[in-house]
Amino acid sequence: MELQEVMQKIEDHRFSAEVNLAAGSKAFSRILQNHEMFRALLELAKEPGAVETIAKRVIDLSGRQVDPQYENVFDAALSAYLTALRDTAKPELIAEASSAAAAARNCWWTPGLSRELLVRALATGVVAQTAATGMKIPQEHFTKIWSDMVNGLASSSAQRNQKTQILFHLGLSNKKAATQSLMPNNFGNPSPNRRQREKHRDLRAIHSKSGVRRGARRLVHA
Amino acid sequence: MAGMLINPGGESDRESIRLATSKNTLIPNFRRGERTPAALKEAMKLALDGHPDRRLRSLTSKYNCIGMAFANRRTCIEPDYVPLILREDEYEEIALYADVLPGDLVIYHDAYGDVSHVAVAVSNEPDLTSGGSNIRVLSQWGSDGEYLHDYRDVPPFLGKPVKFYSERRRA
Repeated sequence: MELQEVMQKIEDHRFSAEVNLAAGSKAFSRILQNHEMFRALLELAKEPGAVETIAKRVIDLSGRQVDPQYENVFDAALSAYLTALRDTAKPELIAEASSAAAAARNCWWTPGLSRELLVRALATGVVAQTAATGMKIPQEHFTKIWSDMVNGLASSSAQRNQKTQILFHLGLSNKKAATQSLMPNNFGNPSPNRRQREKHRDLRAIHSKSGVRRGARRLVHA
Repeated sequence: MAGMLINPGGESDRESIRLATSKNTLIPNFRRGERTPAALKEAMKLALDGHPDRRLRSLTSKYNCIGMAFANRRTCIEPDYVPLILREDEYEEIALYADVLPGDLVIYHDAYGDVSHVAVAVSNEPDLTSGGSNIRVLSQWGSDGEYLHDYRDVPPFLGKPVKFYSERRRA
């Protein structure tokens, strides 16, 4: 089978349906590794120029418009391509493809995989090169990588040395970044505290309307 | 979609719901989006074609099998948390197939011995020809929809049924 033919099958709904039988990320990875189309892709990726074709396809699919109310139809394909590249391509190409895939909208499996590959690129110093070429890596991925470092998940000295670079990308000072790391999920949210206050206020209103607390007290008195 | 930041799937993640075991251990979870109608129809076709005993109950991708069994179809939970939930919610293994009742759980393992799937029993009729049990279950197949089926009749990727569990109280 030719590479184009295999890629066409990987981008088909049937492939997506088969790998989406997975209940979790570990199962997804195992289903992918055992899928005949993925194995065929892996074999073809060893041929000259094949990994570049796959990387180009990742970049192309990642930039496609998606219907915001649905998941990205290329999520499974992107994950398959990234996994194949991870096992066959050079680090620079992997970083390029994974940074493009990280920007793909409404994906389920792809963000975790692209983040993993970006962490690896960071650890091997490839991120410095991607920065030099002006490659765009979504802010949330840098934030997660940085938080992994804070949490000691990526704590080698080489990775710690990359911290300054990441902070530079985020446009954050050390102090500001440290403060934000203590307030999870606040990036990109203009007023999270206000939102939380509103949520609690709404919950209080529901409780007072339904008389949950008053009812409970009456029960105790009775 | 999936949580990107610190403690993804945890209490502070807006893409998850607050979910805990009966011992109050938080269960990380993620709310998944809907797949396109065309993708879901293809998934249904894959599940039902050539399998007359299977029946579709619901075609959605918003929860997985574990979210269906433990979180009222609201979210996705990684299979790695199933042993913790079974332990802390005081589930007990059912030794005899004949003792399985509607509401009990079937746990499936993959070739590596990890939990790969969970189903909820809906009926258990004695099989007079073989002397065994015909156990029908309801389960969400990944993000490919929810099906009624014999507990052994699942795609190979979902693993094999290995144990039955129940949280029934008899006190």
